[in-house]
Amino acid sequence: MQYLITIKNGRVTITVQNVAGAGCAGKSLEFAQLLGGKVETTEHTEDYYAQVVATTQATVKGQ
Amino acid sequence: MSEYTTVQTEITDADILRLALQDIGLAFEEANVEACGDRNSLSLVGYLGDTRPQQVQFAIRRRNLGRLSNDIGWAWDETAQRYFAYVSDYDTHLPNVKQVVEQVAQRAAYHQVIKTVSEYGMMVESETVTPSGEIQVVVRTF
Repeated sequence: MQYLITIKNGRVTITVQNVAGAGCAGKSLEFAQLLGGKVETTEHTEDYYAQVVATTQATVKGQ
Repeated sequence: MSEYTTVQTEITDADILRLALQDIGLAFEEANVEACGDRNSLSLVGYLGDTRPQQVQFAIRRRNLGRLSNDIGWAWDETAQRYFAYVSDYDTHLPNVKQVVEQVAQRAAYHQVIKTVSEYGMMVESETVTPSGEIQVVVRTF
């Protein structure tokens, strides 16, 4: 599995690149939790699943 | 005299904060925790040379920031279990001081990611820094 981690203004965005659907979001969330995070908000659409995590300033995206 | 304000950070690890401070290339001081028995034992100094009541674990002295600057410090908050920054209210308007605090947050986030990647046996495939300063790290798990 491959993650793209983007760090901008001290905020971390985690995107899983090759897992589909909610499983992917779960994996992103798992990584965010390793960073020490907690979920702040969750967004979920048909083809896009994103979870915003307030951790080490992390935002999690799964798609 | 400009009062100090606090800026909450998400930094929870002294090693991470130390690495971030080293990255930005400004000299800093660190409290001798073993000798003092307290993490926050460095006093901050204002731009007139006046010692302030605020005590911190890490400090960048004003001589390294600019003629009119006050010291910047990072103090451990035992209750919140994380660091916060002390920045003079006046200095929050100075671009260089704002930039220092933001760069420390950016580098600390980077080191936290790399530490996590390393601890959990993942592999960094590539690292890129964009012209705007955004860091992109591609990580692979097996």
